[in-house]
Amino acid sequence: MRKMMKKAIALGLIATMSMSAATIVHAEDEVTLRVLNWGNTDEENIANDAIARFNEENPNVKVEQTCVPVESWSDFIQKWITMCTSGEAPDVISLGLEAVNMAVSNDLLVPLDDIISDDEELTAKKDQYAPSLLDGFTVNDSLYGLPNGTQTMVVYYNKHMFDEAGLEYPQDGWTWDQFRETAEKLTKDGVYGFCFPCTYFQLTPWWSTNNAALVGEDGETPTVNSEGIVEAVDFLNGMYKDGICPEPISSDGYTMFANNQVAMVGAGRWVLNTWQDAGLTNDDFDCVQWPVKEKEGSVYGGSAWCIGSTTEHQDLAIELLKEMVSDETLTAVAAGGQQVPPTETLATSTDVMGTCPDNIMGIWKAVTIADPIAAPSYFGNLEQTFLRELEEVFSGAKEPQAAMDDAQSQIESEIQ
Amino acid sequence: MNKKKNRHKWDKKELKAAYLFTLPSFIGFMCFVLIPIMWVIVISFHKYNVFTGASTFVGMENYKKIFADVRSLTALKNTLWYTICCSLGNTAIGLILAVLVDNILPKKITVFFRSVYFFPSLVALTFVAIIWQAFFQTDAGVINYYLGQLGIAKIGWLNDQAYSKLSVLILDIWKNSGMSMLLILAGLQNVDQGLLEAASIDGANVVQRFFKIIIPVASPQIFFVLVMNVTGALRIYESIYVLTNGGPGDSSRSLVMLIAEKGFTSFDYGTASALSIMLLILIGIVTVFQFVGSKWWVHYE
Repeated sequence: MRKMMKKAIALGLIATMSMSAATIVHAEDEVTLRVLNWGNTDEENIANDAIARFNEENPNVKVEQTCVPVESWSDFIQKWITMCTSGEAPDVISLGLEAVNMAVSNDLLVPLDDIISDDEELTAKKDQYAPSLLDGFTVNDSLYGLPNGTQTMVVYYNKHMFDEAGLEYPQDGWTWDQFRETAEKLTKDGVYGFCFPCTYFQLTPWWSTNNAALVGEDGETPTVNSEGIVEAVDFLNGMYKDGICPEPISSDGYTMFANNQVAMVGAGRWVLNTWQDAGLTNDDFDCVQWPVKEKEGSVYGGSAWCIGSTTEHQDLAIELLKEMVSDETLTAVAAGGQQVPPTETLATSTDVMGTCPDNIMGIWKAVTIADPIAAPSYFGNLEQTFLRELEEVFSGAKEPQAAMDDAQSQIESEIQ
Repeated sequence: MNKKKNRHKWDKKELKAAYLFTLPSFIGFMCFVLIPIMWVIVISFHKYNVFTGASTFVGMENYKKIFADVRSLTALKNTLWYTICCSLGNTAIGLILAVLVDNILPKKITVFFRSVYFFPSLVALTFVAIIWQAFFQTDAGVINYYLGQLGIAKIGWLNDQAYSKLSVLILDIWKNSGMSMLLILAGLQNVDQGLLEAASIDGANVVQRFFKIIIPVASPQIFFVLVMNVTGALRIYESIYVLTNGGPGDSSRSLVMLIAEKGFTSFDYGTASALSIMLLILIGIVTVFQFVGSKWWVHYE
């Protein structure tokens, strides 16, 4: 009897397990669109609001949003592949500029050119974007995404420290030499003239203003050990070795700037909320364009809404995409204070961008003169290898030229 | 005789039910452990394109690539360093804390200290990372500030290749030794207080009682903790990822970090799989040595 009971329990357990498995695979009648988004809960909610507006027009469509925090773009692509292989390929995707080539080279995206030219609303929308931004999302002359926000870099400076040192505030068009001289004069006990982190995006303006890039004109050939890059790395390493900058690998320049421990730091719009919360006002700081060596420049990154190549409901996906880049959604994204809106109208509006610091409009100017972040199809490899070799330089293990030569040969052997 | 036979028969009948009961966990083991491992072995002999799913057989190519790559050697050396330092450190400090909490500290505050030492194990690693990165910063860090007060020059905890592994070790011990303490504490409950009292009446001092009585009695738990810590340290990942991300350069990168990089950043599943198999073999060898060695010092009652 007891044996029977045990058998019954065991069978019961198995039956329960298989039933719960069965409920997962039951068929759905209504159309489902899957959205793959990235960012924090605010950004997830903004997308949810856009989805709600889409559902007013299309009540029979079920939209499922997956929003993931992005540590690295390779992780994001990995997540995407997992969704695809488990039969849940996303139809509408928010994608960072870093991952566009990686996605296109693996046929994960639908080109949007024909879709846009057939649709008046989208054509009008496209014309509002900064052309440089659309270039970033264009691969082999085809456009793959409509941007919803961008990021760039300018130099922020502490006005009081300039006043104390008797220095004029910097002006757009200042040179690397003037920059270094200024930073040197601002360095004193407990205060560094400038702080740069050893990260990919934040260092790119140095390559851009030296008319160099980590990849060649074709966007794919690695040029990590080109003369311009090595020269810029040498310049940065020199400032660190001479004590003008704190140690680049572990220092948190944005906190140090807010705590009056560094006089200048490079950043985009994303720091402004934190600094204002920390009590910084227009009297305390302002921003200026990146110092120039060979040409004026900066970096831009950002994200865009794209359509997945495996979508079975392209018409609906297009309608949803329109909602994701509508003025209402873009304004909501910009109001979050992190991103710079991708259209000039919004990015030059003080209602959207605020009035702190005084030169807030310099941020949009930086976008228009910037180069896109170098993002070949092997982006993950490039970023990781390049930063690893930069750390070798800043930890004193290698000279700039040797480190960049090593990075170049490692990347070449990985991508062949 | 008859009784024995009956019992045997009864066992056989029970066997069916036993199989049925273990079936769910067996299915889980098959799906999530055994089949994936087999799959990893297969992939390690292939060049596998994760995007298209296409694979080409390349024989030992991936393994040759690993042995030719100086980076995998560095990662292996680092992993062995972590294995020795983290496992011994965590076990030794866990043992010391356990004895402190069990015997030396007043009973009334034992609960408090037990919680304090165990607390780091409960904190999410993301927050741990933020705190310790702030501690370890070279120019604005807390630790260097106090070292400076003592007249000691700044140490590049996260940016000097000579110190990066040590920083990871400190974080790892801070975070994990509490767990070791808790497990060893369970073993110390087996120590007969009467035995300790008798020993001290016979003139045994604290050190003698510790090595001659406490350690032998608690040795099964200590051994268990050591095995867990060693296999854990061989697979060390999170503590490094949040603190140094393997840098500067490759100076603090472990094998698992390299596997993750090859697999999920370079999408080179073949090489990542081959590295995983090497790690599996390494863990196997180390574990066998531990079990063989344990016969000399672990006492089961």
